[in-house]
Amino acid sequence: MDAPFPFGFPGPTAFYLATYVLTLVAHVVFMNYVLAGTGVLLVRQIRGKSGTSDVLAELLRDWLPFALSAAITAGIAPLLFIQILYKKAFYTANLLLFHRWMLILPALIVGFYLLYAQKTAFVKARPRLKVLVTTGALACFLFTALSWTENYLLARSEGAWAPMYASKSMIYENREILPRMLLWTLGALPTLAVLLGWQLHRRERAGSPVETATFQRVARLGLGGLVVAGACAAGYAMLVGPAARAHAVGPMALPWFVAAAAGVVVEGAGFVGLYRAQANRGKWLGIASAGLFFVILGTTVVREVLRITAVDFAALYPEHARAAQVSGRWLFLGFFLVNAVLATWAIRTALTRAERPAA
Amino acid sequence: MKTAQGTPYIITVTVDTSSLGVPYYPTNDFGPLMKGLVIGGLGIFHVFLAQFAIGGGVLMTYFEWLSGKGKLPSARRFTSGYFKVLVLVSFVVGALTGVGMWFTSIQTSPRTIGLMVDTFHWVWATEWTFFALEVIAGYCFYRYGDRLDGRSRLFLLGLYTTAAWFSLFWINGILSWQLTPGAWLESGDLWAGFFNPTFWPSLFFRTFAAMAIAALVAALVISVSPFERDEQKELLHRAAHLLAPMALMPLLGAWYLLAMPKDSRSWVLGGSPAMSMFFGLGAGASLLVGLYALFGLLLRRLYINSATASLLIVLGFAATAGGEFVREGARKPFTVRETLYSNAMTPAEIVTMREQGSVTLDPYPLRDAADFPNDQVRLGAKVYRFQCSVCHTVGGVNGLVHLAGTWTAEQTRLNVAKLQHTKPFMPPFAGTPEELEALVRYIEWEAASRPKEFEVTSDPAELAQIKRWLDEAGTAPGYTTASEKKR
Repeated sequence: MDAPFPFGFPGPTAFYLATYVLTLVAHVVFMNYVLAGTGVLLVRQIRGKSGTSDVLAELLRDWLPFALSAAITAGIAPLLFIQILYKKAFYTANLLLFHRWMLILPALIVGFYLLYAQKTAFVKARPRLKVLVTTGALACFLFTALSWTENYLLARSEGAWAPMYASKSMIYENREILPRMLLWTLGALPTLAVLLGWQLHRRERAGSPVETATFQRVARLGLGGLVVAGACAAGYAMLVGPAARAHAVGPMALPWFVAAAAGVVVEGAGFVGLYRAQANRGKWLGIASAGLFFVILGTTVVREVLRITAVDFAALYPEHARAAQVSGRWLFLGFFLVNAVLATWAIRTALTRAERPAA
Repeated sequence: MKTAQGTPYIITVTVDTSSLGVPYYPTNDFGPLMKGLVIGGLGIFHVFLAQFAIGGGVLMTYFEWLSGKGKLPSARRFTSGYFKVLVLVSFVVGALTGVGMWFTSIQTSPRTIGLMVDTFHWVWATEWTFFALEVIAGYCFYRYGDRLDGRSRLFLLGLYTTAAWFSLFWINGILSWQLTPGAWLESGDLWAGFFNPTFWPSLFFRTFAAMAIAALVAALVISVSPFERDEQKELLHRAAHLLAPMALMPLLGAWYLLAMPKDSRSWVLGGSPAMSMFFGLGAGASLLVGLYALFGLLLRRLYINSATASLLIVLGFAATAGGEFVREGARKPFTVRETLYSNAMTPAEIVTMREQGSVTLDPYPLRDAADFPNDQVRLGAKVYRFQCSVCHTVGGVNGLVHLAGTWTAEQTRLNVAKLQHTKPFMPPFAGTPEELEALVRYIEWEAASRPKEFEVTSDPAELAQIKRWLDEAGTAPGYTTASEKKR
């Protein structure tokens, strides 16, 4: 396949691939906030001194439950389209992992409630309990991340299916799992930094002063995340072997690989600017956000190209073509637009009509 | 080319067997639990929570409107407290059990959920846009509701409720299609399948059920909240207004039953004791809730405390459980009527499997294959796994040993060969005579407590008899009457 993703595929396949990737990008943004945010909150709670206020910890505690809800809601769309694109492989991986896979549901429910528990006065007043609660939530989210990583790798390894079934094992052993999970987890830090930066910026514009040091902390978090995630990506590239490396920079993925790399540079510049800025931080956050968009989009496409090239993807074209014959896409598009407008209206109503809380 | 001839309202399925590719999936053993019980249990729980979310929106919008009109001063305080319950219960557990339904469906019948996704993915995607709107409007109200004016609160609640109800609208079309695909069977037209014969009765029934559940939960929240006694009484009375549409439920239930296929209706109305019992449970529990609503809340003859409110919620849950069990069970022997049997085979595939075998191409080996005494029993175990295990266990719930362990070998051969006539809610057997004989031996081996030595049967006369029985039974569903078959 010599054309860049998603060109070069039959129309229906390209359409579903593009839809899948775009919806996955939205999910990844919120997922990164939850995963990295819970980790950062835990670190701040462990290192924090009692009696001192911590704006970042407050923000995270306040917004993490919503972010998890948003991550789950945004995750439903790619979950739908992955079933069109890779039905048999996705279902088979689900079935093979069985109880292990299904455990992500109670894990997420527990994690959800632990995030809500963080907001209660009872937990807030007890530093050790606070750490315990956040540790529990983080463990739930890391377990979910581990399970998804396993699922992804198992789904594209058809040769492993029958032996794994016969072995009764519900754990897929693959040397890529932990490095890959590390890459995605640490790669979540820059996303968190951008979103936290915007939250602080909005807070400041609403009249609550935010110290420059807090913005600098966020910028350091983003830059540090870029560095460690970059190192992990390099390590992971060494691990996956020459064939996968060739596909990652092959004609299908190259433009996206370049976009992601350029995105890292732009995002890094945004963080540096944010670190130095005394005012006009919105501009630097905008630059970092633009870079972030290309990083997430580019890496998501490269991830998809690696899956496409690992399976007999051409054999799935007829299934995609059959799925594309059913009607309803204009219905979806119409309601997507209408509901997007209504959602914006709801948010605008809430933000503009709500009385400011008393200082 | 092979042809499977069905009932007059079944499409004649023609398939080119040379290109037939049955997708084989690894099959998990749920131990003594029937797979249907697992998905049914989660489904009932999810439906109850989802309907609570919808009805809760209606209730809060109504209360907010009353508050705005000055008719119920305590309504606003109640709404804020009630919404927190809704967020903590419905947004968290409700949303995740929704995803859980998808995953559980994959565990029990990947082909069924795959067909549903293929057919309705744009409807599902549309539903997702409404779900996202519901979450956004809900969170806006949750975070900012206390600081908003009445008009903005009403707007957000109205938006939340509308979005939640439309979620039900879309999902209801997909679920009701499974039982009554209607003209979709002939035309393949999405909207003919979506607006199918049970769509409207089911939609109205679920809407009223949602309102009733929300009113019952409201009764509990009101009774444990620090309101004055008079305030509580007024709030309870107003909340009970949402129970009033329950009076229409018997009519809607009757409409739903009439819109069902005749055979499905017969399971519910006495043909299947389990289904009739659950139908009775649902109807009885609804009746009790309705009576209490009428005398206690609408006519204000009785007061409701937290214990009574909790009991009424349990009754509401029982009614939901009964209704959902009936809805799931009435589809038998299909998961998608006339299209996909309960064990995830199409009518056309059964024709092919009668000649080529059902597990010949199954790539998944048996687990613990060495525990079986010979290849015939191994083959039988694979046939059981592929054709039976979605609804049966070996020795647990709905276990084959309990059902057929005491039959004679000949009786088992006949009953399985003519399975759809033995029990019309069963699909036809899909395999060769050799596979059927292997299944019979597997059941006998299990019934005999898995002895180490077990005789292999290979009498050509017996296999020929099985073949005759299979031919006599045909591959059409068993509920077709003789006159319908002639037509």
